[in-house]
Amino acid sequence: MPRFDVEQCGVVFVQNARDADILFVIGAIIKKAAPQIKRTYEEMQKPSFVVAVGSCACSGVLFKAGNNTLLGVDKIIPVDVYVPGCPPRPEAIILGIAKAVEKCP
Amino acid sequence: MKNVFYFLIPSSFLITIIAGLFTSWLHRKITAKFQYRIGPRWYQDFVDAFRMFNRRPVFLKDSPASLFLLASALNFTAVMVVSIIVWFAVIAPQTAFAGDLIVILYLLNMPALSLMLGRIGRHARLMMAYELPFILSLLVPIILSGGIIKLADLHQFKQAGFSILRHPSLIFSFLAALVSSQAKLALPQFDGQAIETNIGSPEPIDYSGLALAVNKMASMVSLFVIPFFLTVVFLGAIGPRGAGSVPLVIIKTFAVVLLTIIIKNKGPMFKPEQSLRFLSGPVTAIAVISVILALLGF
Repeated sequence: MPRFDVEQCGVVFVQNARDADILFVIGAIIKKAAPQIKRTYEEMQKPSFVVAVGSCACSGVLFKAGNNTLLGVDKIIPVDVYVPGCPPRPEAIILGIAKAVEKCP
Repeated sequence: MKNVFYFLIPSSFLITIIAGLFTSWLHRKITAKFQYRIGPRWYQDFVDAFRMFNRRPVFLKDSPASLFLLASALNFTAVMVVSIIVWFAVIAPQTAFAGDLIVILYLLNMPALSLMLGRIGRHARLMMAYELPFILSLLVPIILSGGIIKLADLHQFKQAGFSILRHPSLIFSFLAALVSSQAKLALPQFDGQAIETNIGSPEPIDYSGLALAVNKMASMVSLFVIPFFLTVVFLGAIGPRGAGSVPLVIIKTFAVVLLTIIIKNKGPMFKPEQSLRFLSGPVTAIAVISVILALLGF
C-alpha cells in the first residue's frame, strides 16, 4: 500500500514534459538514453527543475568502470536536487521533491 | 425576469466552478484516504487551476492549434451551459424552457467529442456503450411523470410526492445512470488508461497550456455537474419542497459525488473490452428493466 505521499506537497503527475515543472531522473544514465533525457529537459517550459534520484543518477557509482554509462545526469543537464542512496529511502525522495517544489515559482 | 437572468447566470457560473474544483479536491482527498495517503490540501485544485491557466501553450509543428483550442472551449462551454440549465431548473423554474432535458443530453456528449478531436479514439467506443443505458434510465422519470421533458417541471413534479423511495423503477434507473455516468466522467473505473499515475497514458498531448487548462477545468466541473443533474432528475423528491429544497439538493449532490468516489475506489477496474461488455450488457439490461417497470406503473 502506498503510504508515502507526494500529493500532499502539491505534486501531480503529468504525461507531457511540456506541462511539467520538475523532471525526475532515476537510475543509471546509459549513453544511448542521454539525448532523450536532454530533449525531454529542453521540452520543459522554463523555469524547470531536475531531481536526480539514486546514487547512479547522481554520480553513476556502481557503473563507474563501464564505458556505456554517464557518471551522473549532471553531465548532460543541470541538476537542482540530488537524492543519493542505493536505493534512497522514500522519505529522502519526498524531501528531494519538497526541495524542488520550494524552488518552483 | 431579466433581473433574475442577470443575477443567476454569473452567480451560477461562479458557484459551479468553485463546486467543481471542490469536488475534484474531494475526489483526490478521499482517493488518497482509501490508499492510506494524506492527499492534497483543500486549496490544491484552485492552485493547480491557476497554474494551468498561466502556462504557455505549446503545439506541435503541423497540428491545428485553433481546432484544439476550439474543442476545449466547446467542452467547457457545454458543461457550463448544462450547469446553468440545472441551476435554473432548481432555483428559478419559471425561466426554464421546454425540452431542456434533451438539450442537456446533447450537451453532455460534448466532452467526449472534444476528447475525440484530441485524437483519443477510445472515448468513441466507450460512448457507444454508456450512452444507451444513460438515456434509457433518464426515460424512467419522464415515463412516470407522464411525458415531462422539461427539467424544471420534472423537478417540481417530483417534489409533489413522486419519490425514488416509492418507485422501484426509479431505483433501478438511478443505479444504471450512476454506473454509466462513471464512464461518462471518464473515471479510471471504465477508462483504465485515464488513471492519474499511468506513465504510458495516451492523455491529450495535443492539448497544452490554455487548451489543456480549459479541458481539465471542464472535466473537474463535470465531476460536480453530472451528479448534480442526476440528483435533480432522480433524487429531487426526498426532503422539503419549494425553495427550501435548494440546500438539500446540494447536500444530495455531494452524497452522489461520495457514492461515485466510493465506486471509483472500491469497485472493480474494467479493461476496455470488459467495460464495453459490462455497460452494454448488465447495465443496459437494468436500464431496460427499469423502463418496463415504469411503463407498468411501478
